[in-house]
Amino acid sequence: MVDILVSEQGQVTLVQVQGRVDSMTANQLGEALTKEIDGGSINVVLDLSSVDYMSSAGLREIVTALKKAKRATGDLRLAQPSDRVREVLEMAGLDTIFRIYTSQAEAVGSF
Amino acid sequence: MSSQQHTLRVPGELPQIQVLCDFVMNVAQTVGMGDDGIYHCQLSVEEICTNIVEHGYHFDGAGKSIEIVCEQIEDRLRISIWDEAPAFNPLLRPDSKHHASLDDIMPGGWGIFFVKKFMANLSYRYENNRNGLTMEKIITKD
Repeated sequence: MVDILVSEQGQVTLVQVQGRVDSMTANQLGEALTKEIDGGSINVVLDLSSVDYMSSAGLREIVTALKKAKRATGDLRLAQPSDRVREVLEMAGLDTIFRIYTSQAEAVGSF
Repeated sequence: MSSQQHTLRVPGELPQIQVLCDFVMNVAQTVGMGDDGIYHCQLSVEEICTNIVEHGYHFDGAGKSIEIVCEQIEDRLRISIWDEAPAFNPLLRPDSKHHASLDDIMPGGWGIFFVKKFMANLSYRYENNRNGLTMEKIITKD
């Protein structure tokens, strides 16, 4: 189960995710990100501090969203991934693709 | 010395993957696996089973099954996953590579890559019209 909360922080859209991002729930995250980016919110911070599990399905969705944001000259940046999420990000080599911050404030302020 | 086998068979549908993951988690806890090992086992089971549902059964696995067999073998937890999809050895798939740029990243491949990283002694066989993938995790407390 995953909960997704979207809010605006100035010119940045903050997407806070809570729970488990797996093959059942990853598309919910993908849809939420797509909705924001397609709607013109191209500067997005994805706060993963409350995500205790992310499989490759989740990685595919955030990569897809990052590509979409970049094509629109925006960006998708990650905030506070847990150790478990960071582990899979690093294993997939995505820690060099995404800009990752240790706090939400840093991530939002980076735009 | 091996101990009791724990077996679960479910329909080959996406919602059943969580059931399989929970089953493995419970068995891993029972044999004394630490949190890290449990997480790795859960993730590996999910990755393999998602591939079965998506690529083996094409999301039409209601009439087919996925069976998981867990067994403690000395200091290891052995997990075998059986499916009825056409013969396919996922271990032969090339490993996913790190990419220098976002544009180079193509979807797919991370799942089995994670399994190979997290789990040990992976093997595949095709028996009685079923694919069988076996993997092991050393039982360690964190």
